[in-house]
Amino acid sequence: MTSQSDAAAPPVQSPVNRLVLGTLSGPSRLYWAIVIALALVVVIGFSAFIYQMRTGMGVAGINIPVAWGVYIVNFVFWVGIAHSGTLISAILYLFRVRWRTSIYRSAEAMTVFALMTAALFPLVHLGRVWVFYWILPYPNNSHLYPNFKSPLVWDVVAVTAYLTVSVLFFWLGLLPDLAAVRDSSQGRRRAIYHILSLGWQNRHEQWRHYARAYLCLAVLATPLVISVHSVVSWDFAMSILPGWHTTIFAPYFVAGAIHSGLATIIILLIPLRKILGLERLITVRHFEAMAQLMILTALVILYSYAIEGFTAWYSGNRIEGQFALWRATGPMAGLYWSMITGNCIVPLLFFFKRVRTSLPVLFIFGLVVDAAMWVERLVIIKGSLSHDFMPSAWGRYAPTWVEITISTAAFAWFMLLFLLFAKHAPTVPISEMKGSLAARASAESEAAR
Amino acid sequence: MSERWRITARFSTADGLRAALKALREAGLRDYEVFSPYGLIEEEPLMARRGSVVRAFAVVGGLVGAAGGFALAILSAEIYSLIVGGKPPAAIIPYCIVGFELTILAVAIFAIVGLVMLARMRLTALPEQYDPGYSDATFGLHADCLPEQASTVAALLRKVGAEEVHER
Amino acid sequence: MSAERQPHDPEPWPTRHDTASSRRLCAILMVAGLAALLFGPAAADADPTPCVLLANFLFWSGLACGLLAWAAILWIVRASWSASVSRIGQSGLAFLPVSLALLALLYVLRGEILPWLRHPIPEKAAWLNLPFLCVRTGGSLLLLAIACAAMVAANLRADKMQQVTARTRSLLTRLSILVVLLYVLAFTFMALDLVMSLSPRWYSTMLPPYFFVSNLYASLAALILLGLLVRRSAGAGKYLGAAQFRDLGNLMLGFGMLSIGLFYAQFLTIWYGNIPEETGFIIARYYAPAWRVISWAAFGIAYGLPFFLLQSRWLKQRPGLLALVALVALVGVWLERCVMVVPSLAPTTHWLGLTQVIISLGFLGAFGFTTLAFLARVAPASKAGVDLELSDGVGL
Repeated sequence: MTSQSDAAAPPVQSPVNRLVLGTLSGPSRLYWAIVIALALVVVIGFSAFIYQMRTGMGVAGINIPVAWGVYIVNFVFWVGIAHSGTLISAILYLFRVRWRTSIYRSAEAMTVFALMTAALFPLVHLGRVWVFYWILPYPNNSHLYPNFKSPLVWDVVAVTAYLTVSVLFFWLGLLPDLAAVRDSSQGRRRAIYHILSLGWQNRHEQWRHYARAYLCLAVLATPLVISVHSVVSWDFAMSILPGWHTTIFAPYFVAGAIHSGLATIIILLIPLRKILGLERLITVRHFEAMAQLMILTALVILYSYAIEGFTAWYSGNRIEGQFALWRATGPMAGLYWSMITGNCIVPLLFFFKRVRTSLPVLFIFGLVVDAAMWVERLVIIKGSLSHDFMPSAWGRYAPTWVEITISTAAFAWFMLLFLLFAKHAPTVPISEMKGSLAARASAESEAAR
Repeated sequence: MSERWRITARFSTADGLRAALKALREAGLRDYEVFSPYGLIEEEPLMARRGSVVRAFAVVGGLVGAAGGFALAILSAEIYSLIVGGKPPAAIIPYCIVGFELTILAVAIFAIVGLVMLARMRLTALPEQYDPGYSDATFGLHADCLPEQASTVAALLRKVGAEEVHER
Repeated sequence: MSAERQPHDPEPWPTRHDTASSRRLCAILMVAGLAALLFGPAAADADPTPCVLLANFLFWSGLACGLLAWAAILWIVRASWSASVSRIGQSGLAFLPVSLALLALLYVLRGEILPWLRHPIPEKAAWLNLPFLCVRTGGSLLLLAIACAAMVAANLRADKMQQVTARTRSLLTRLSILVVLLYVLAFTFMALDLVMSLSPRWYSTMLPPYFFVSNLYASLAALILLGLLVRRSAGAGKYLGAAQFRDLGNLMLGFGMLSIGLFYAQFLTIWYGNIPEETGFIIARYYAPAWRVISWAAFGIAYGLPFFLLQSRWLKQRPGLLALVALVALVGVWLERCVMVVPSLAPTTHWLGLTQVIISLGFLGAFGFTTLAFLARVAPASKAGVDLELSDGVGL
């Protein structure tokens, strides 16, 4: 028997493929200029870090009593930002929320890059960074192991687990889309994406295992969102310092993390959709939904501030009471009240539809919330350390140029990673988008009949 | 072993593919593979193979992670059995965190390993009959049959609306 | 109620729930509970009856308000699968008058449940004084009841509309938001005044959030149980099918994990800090021999067992089995409310007597009777919720 073939039918192109893969075409000169500028800032920050390592931690402002400064503020800030990405990609997936589809890829990327940024700061803060591996439990001559009762060791375990699971979840979601990029590419680019997609062939046999694995990871990522930032909050709550030792820290930090993460997604996506021409896929409705979520997180944070202040008074504990009063009326009062205004009062304006559907307002409010959340971490960390039990132990802290440079470089590092992602991987999930659109079309035709 | 022929059909809609799958099942054919630009979960009953045991990998990973996490924390504390900070050397309450996080990590890793193994994902070259359109807007059906059945199957697929059919 | 055919709904509008037999059983339990309260023998030493009344007030009022909070939450998030579930949530309104009456009874017994009345604490007098407590706890519960009544009334009015108007939907949204905010406020005060102040020297910022979140968890279990009771008689069909129960089961699993997380956060922080003014509460319940077994058993029954059982997708799709898990969780949470209250007020009491158990069953009877009576008089699915399902909720 001889083989027979029909004439090849003209290839069908999905508009989603065309639109999203089109964003990966040759970057402009402006793009490369920005990438180079960001890389430069990162190099400057790295140089400051080398200077700090060679000269000693004294070039940073951290000292007794404020031994944790801007580096730890940045660590908590960046870990916090990561949580919203997982909320949108995993938790909203489990709730079958449809508006998540076109934004979750960028949100997940934000998670991974924020964690990669956060992970730098314990190393920067460490001093003798060359012995960082002592925190890992490996067999050694001295039979010394890290103390697993220490919150700092819990941090290592939790953040490592979160980074690994986030990277796996991110890559898993990307798999079919990396194959789509492969199939639309030639030569070396095709080979690279073939490796990244692990030879994905769009077979149903792969899809059925994929669906189960994706659900598995979504179910796993959900408790991670709650647990990881709870563990980070316990770095503080496990102490007995006034302002730190309080039982509500875990949900308070988690709500704050999601709050800052949502603000960051808004800040990232508003320009991204414009630059990449994705306005049809990332609409105002998405931002409105995120703003509504921010109302919830703002209320949770407001509740936490209120219950903390109330309990400081109700407890009758003089140390706790004087600390709460000092924080609200002392030298840090400006930072304290700006944090409350930025985190709670401003986002409550999202109750008004006009406010939450205006992209310029959303962008500005996103910046305000992010700044206020950073200030909140500063108030928590610096406040309790600089004003604890004994007046003789009270002190001050101000970051030096080294800390400011490294912190700025961290922002540049994050933006650099995100920009590289935006031009080399599909920022909108292609296959899932096509599946959603097909399901909707099918439901509409069913309804019409 | 008798020779098998592969009939490759391409469709531009999921409906066309669905009709083809129904037709093949009615004709008694079960040996086929489906390619699609997105997962066809609702068509699962029409597929040759269903379900997934990735969850089993995940469960094993969970047990390994939980046992490993608690064992790591408890045994490493017992080596130097010191009371630190007024806490007993091996304290279950804080060790729940280590156990919990390592459980999640292990489940994730095992689930991914399960996916890679079960989905036979490899870095080898794509098969000859793979169409790049499968990641765009084309649905594919590769049916294996005996040589004498080939033309019947091909005709059946053309009848249900396949835009392109190859017999090999 | 006659059937109204909708464009996409080929099934006729379902008839009302018929729960007469369940209500009869509840009435018997109510009478037995009341009899035990009035005529039951007191224990030989300190009578735990006031503590048990308080624990039951916290538990059953919590369930009623939690049901209403769920009705509000499901509307706010536009959960298009929940037309019947939110109607069952609204039935909590029927128990609220009983709640308020109970609060009045607790006021009468205030000397036996509020230790700071007998031994005032001057430095806390600005908060721990009776008039202020009545205003904040009683007042917030009353406000919550009024908001819930308004929300349910608006919902029932919408049932009579041909098409639910945008104005009605907007009103429902505003009222639902108000209900959720007042629920948080009222239960914060309840936790501070009726749990935390029973050990006046102890404090924890986590107690109020833990209280109202674990209450939402228990209310989900109550939703499942009530759903099972009304399901067969309702003919609610697709509005209360296996899919809805599975979703409730998943929600229950999620809130169970959240409750465990909050419990652990409080426990760990207190355990780690090891500060005497904080540890007293935990030691009395989880370490002292008198209550250790009961407290850990309560935790295991309320959260541990349901957590493992709810992993099974097979179980969640079977309403009967799911209801069994819900019942176990409810028993556990009830026990946990006793653990919160009794060791503070009656530390020598090791367990509850038969009188106290029958009183508690009386509360069960009152709750069941009022909620089922409500459900017998209304359509099993809210029109606003059905319209939401037809328009397929939020999505792109």
